Amino acid sequence: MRKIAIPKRDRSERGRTPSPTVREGGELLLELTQSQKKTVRHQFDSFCRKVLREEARDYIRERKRLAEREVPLSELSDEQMERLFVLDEYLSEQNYFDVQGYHIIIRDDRLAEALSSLSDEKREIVLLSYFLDMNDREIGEKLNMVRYTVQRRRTSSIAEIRKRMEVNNNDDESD
Amino acid sequence: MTMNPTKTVSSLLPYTTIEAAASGNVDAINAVLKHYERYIAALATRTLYDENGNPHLCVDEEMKRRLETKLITKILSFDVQKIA
Repeated sequence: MRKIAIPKRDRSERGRTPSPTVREGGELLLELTQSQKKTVRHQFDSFCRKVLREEARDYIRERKRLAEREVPLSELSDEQMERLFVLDEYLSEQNYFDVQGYHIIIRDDRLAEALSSLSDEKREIVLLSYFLDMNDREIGEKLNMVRYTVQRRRTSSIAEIRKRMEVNNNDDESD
Repeated sequence: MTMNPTKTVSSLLPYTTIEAAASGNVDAINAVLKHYERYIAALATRTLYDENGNPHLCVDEEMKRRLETKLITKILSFDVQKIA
C-alpha cells in the first residue's frame, strides 16, 4: 500500500518546484503532500519521544519496585542468611530406627543415643507413640499387648530416657 | 535527503529516513537512534550520591540500552501512511 501511494505524489511533486511561499491549501496536491510529510515527521518525532519517555518511566518504576523488595546480601541478618541454604542430609550420617516398617530419623544425637540404650521393645513403644502419634491402644494391638502394659512401658521408658539425657547433660557440664 | 534549513524542521528527521526506518532499513534506524541519542542520554541520566552526599550525574548504561531497544522495536511499528 505504501509503495503505491507514495510514488504518485512524488511524481506530482517533480512536475512543480516546491516553493515554501505557497500558502497551505492554495496548491492543494503539492502542499498537501508536503504538509502531510511534515505532519508525519512531527508525528514520528513525538512518537519517538513518547516511546522513550514512557519506557524511561517504566524502567524507573521497575527499579523502584525492585529496590523495595531486594536487600543486598551484605545487609541480611544471620537469621535471614541461615534460611538461604539447606544442608544435604545423608542417610549414612543419620541416626535412625526402623520400627514396624517405618523409618524414623532422629536428628538429635543425644536423643538417639538415649533411645538406642533402651530395650528393643521399649524403644518400639516410644517411637510408635511419640514419632508416629499412635495411642496406647493402637500400639497394643500392633504389638499384641494390653493397653495398660503399653502405657506402663511407655512411661517408664520416658523416665529412663530423661534420666539418661540428664546424666549426659551433667557429664557435658562437668567436662 | 532534503534538509530544510528552517530551525523547527531541522530538528525533525527527514521524511525519507522515517519511511526507511519504519520499513526496517538498518542505516535509517541507526540514524534515528543517533538523532535521539541526546534525548536518550538525558532520560537515562541518574543522580547518584557518594558517601559524602555529593550528587553525581551518570548515565545508566543499562537504561540507555533498554530505551534504545524499545525505540527500535517501536520504530518498526510506526505507520507512515496513517494520516494519508
